[in-house]
Amino acid sequence: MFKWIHRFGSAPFVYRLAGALSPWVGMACLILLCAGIYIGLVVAPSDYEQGESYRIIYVHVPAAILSMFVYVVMAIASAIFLIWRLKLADVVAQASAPIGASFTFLALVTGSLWGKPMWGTWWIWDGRLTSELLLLFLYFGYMALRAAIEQPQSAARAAAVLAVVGVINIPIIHYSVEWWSTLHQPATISKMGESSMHPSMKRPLFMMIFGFQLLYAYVLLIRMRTGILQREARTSWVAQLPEVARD
Amino acid sequence: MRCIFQREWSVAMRNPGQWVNPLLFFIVVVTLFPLGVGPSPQTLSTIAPGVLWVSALLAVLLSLGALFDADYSDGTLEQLALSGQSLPVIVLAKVLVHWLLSGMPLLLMSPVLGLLLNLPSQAIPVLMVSLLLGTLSLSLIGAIGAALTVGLNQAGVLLSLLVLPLSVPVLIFGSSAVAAAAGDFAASGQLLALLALLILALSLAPLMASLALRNGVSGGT
Amino acid sequence: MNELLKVNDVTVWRGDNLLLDDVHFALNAGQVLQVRGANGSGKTTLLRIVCGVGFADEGSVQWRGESIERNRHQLNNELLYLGHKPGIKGALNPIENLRIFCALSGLEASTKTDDLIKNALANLSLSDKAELPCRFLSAGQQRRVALARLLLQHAYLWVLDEPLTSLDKAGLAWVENQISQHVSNGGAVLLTTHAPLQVKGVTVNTLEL
Repeated sequence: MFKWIHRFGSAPFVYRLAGALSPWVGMACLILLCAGIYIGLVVAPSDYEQGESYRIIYVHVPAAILSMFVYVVMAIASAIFLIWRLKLADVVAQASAPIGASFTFLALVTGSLWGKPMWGTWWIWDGRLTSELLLLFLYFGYMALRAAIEQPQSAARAAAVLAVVGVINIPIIHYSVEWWSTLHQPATISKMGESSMHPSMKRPLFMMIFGFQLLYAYVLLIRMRTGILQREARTSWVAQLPEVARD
Repeated sequence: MRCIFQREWSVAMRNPGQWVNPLLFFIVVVTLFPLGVGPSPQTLSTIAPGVLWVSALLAVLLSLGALFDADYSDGTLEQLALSGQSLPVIVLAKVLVHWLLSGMPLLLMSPVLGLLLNLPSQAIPVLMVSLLLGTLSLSLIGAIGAALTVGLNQAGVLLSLLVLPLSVPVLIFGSSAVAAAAGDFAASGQLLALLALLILALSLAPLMASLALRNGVSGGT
Repeated sequence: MNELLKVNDVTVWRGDNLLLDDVHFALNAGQVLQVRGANGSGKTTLLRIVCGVGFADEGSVQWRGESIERNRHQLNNELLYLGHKPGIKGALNPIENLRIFCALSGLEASTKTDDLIKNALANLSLSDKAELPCRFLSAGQQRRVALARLLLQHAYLWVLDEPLTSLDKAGLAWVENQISQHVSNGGAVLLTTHAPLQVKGVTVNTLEL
């Protein structure tokens, strides 16, 4: 068991594994996303109330789900790094942060775009959009803290503490903002993706959600390889890699 | 713990700026709002809970930035980290002293500022209780941020970026408690939520801050 | 148990520069080790790593046969670290400053502790400055206040980073005398200093960086 963990935690092994997996994950992601976009934008029927504009949920909902999911992955990896000092966990956390921030940003932009035809305004202080915005600030804080500390090990641990603190706070922030928005907007606004959907609309949505997860996995694998190379730049196994030795 | 408490207390008493400045900041920021939005009593009493709370939040968090800096630069922090005593307890003692000197004066000053902003008088007790619970939580949350940024250049701006999103729940429940009391509604739910946040912060923040401090001390040269 | 401290192959990079390259040594009870090297050769970094307040890229430090990451509590209780920055609060007077250090090392605040502190200050000829805030003291006097800890805290391992900075001749002799007593009582000392050190009755080992 211990040997297995050791092997799984060893940088050259993970570097090669990530390199071997990433084309397959990327391929699967491409297929799913293309199919999901085609079915979602062309095949699925238009909505009874919202017309064609509802179709933005095929981007918005997966991006919003992934924005939370990536933060949780980051926090779990950070906790593993803090407890067991597994350097690879820190690679995962560091590689995830900008991806998660991008998904959050995408969710905010698409939510705002969708708000224009629905509410006639680009921004509304709706509970979900507001907590997405706060989540974006949390991602920015994580990346800014990492960038501000020069000593790499110190930066890694400080960022890990912040990620753990953040993940404890996310549910609290989420529910307090939700409570706050119902307090100020007693009239319920129908929220995206919440009303019962026809199965023909749901199917492409699930394809898109899964496709986004694969996209995250794909980018994560690539970024992890870079992260490993940066950390291990002085070791002999990196120097012997054919892709490094060439130049 | 008692010794650290005494030490912090006597150091702070010999640096009056540490506890006078946040209070002055609070008063000045609150004074700016009538100048910005106009002196109409109706408008002022509507925004009073939010204004008082946002100003208190900023006053507490900005004064916290330097919580560990003096100890870091004169080498005390590494001695604290290397002592056989428990670092979370030391952190807690420091935060409590800081709160007594910066949060407490805000609390005592808030009724006067509430009256300036035309806040209905029945909301004043709720304002004070919400500030009591809320500023303590904010000091604890801020201590995590201060510990994470210890010894860094431009720590102030970074600290705000790290801590402000985390302090949103306190702000929401604090200002809505005051707003509810101002509108003659019960505020006990919000106050209980603030209490719950305080208990959570009390149990976790000293641990997290000491983890961050240990790391911050090691990162320096 | 003779071997107190063991440092295995500590390596530290600063950016692309190799600061410490496979540094290894052992320190036993009754020994003094002087770390020498030019400015910027990593002396302070090494001392901080030994105390557990620095990061090494590779290598490990063991205290009484166990890694200091696991054994931190025991090391902290048996260690006296006097850093570059002495940890003296300018706003407090020497007695108040030393009370903190006594409390941190587990000595109860009492009149007995205060007497110990006053004796230590007298020993360092600081009695007349005992009630003066430390920011009014000279650098050498502040250093003496920090050195008073050697008399107050009971530790096996002393890690002293440039303890002789801004000390006069009498101060130097005082430190050498303390080290010699500590070592003959079975303690160990790890220190950096540029001045040659003469400790009575002990050979000072050196480590060049």
